[in-house]
Amino acid sequence: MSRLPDDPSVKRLPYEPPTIIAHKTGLANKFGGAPAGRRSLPRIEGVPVSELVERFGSPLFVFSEHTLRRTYREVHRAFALRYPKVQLAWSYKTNYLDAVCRVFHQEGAWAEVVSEVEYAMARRLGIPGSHILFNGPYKPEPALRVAIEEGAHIHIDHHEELYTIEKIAKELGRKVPVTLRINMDTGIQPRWDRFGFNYDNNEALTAIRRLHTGGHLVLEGLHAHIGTFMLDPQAYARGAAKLADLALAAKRDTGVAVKTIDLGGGLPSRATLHAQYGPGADTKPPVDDYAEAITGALLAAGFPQDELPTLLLESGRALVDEAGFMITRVAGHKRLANGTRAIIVDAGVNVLFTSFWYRHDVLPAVDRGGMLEETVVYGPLCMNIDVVRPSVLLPPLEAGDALVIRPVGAYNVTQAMQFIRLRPAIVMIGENKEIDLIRREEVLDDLKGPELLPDRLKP
Amino acid sequence: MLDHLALSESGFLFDSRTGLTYTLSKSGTFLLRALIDGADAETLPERLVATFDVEPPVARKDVEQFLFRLTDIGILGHADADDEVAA
Ligand SMILES: Cc1ncc(COP(=O)(O)O)c(C=O)c1O
Repeated sequence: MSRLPDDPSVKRLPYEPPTIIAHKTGLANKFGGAPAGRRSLPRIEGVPVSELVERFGSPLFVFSEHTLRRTYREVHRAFALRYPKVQLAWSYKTNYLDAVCRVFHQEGAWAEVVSEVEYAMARRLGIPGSHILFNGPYKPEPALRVAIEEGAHIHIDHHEELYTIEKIAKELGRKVPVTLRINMDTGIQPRWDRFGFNYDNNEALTAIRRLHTGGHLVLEGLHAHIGTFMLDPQAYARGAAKLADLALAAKRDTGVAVKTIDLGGGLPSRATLHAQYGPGADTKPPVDDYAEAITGALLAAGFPQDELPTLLLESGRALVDEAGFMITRVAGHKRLANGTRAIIVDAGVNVLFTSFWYRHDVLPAVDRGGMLEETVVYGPLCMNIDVVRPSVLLPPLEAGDALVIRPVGAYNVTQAMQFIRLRPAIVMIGENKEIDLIRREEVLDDLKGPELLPDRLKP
Repeated sequence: MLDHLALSESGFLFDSRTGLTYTLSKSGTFLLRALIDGADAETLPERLVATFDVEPPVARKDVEQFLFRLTDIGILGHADADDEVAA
């Protein structure tokens, strides 16, 4: 071995661009690219990210069927271990991709819908009315008629809706079972008091008496969705206790035992909110804490053994968020005027709505080494708001390099819009690593199809 | 004269005029070391190519941006120590 180690023609050092990063006071050790902090995500469920990009392009949503099922079973088990009658209903608006809904339905979930459109989606997927919870502040009368005829569980939001359902029941000449949506103070801020009838000021109990004396409706259940991304299990304990108390009061007043108590959704996912300090996965209480809080309150409420209500849950985010990934590619680089490094990627906030709430994990598919640097991740939209991550430590990247953004399974697909760019393809990786396209990439006609151009304006 | 700059081999830089500290990548450390040792800025691209696995056009572009950045944040070219430093 007679190689001269410093003969440049023999071996030059691997290159990364020359960069300099100023230390911010107090944050010095966040910089410097310590190897311990380096993370990358070369595969999703064992499938190389590079293969997914090659086959389906970028950006690309990827769902893991395995994670969907595992998460569902975890949540269901946490409650079923502690309470004899538990039924989950999949909250459609969180993600109503057919493939995602079907996975949850196969696992045993009912459907929770908040419009006639979502109702039709569930029916289309073979869900009978008797397995649909129909929520929402606006249910047009024809939709209510269909739902009543098909035996769906209607959650009443306000007085006008109550009257409409009474009218329909009268016409049909039969008693219609209904659930009342309740809002209340559970000690958390902001308080969600715009949906349903208030518990604390007795509006709810008054509505129950009113409904009972009307003679056309039967109180079947009580429902409360106390908020979303709830980090305090005790809020649920208070909510469950109040619903139980209301159920027992209703029984005393009307003689009718409530059959279901529905605590809605709101369990957090492992995402990190912008306002949170540490990673969300570390601060999120385990689902067992929520199960303990809710079932503990119900079991302690004093229901007679044979009148213990069925516990319904409408968890959305917590079931689907971690199963969703977004693959995106670097389109270009910038050095901003203040010296900050920025990259432009091909997925923007039009398809990653949760960027406004979450500090998403942004991981390079491949880390080729080099210094980590605080980087702004911009989307491809010509809009100032298009920021996927205001700041994240990333290694040097080149145009075309893939990044994986997670968790993105909740709310992004349903709220994605064709703004400046069309919506990307979506694939699902199956339990046996099957890779199925579950929604194709959009074409211009998907956007322009419904438009009509008057003759006089035709080109 | 760059004797206000103390640069370690690992890429840690202390600017005694401002009291600010920085981290540089390997190639950044290499280039700034050369400047501190008196190298002419013109020669930096060739030096970079001789030592690192990089093509000359990329080296020229990267050196230019790097020098621009050093000036921009006040490491190079500002006589006045009170200049604001973007950090
Ligand atoms: C009535 C109802 N149930 C369930 C959910 C699902 O909530 P999450 O995704 O927070 O679990 C929502 C969401 O807003 C809702 O409004």
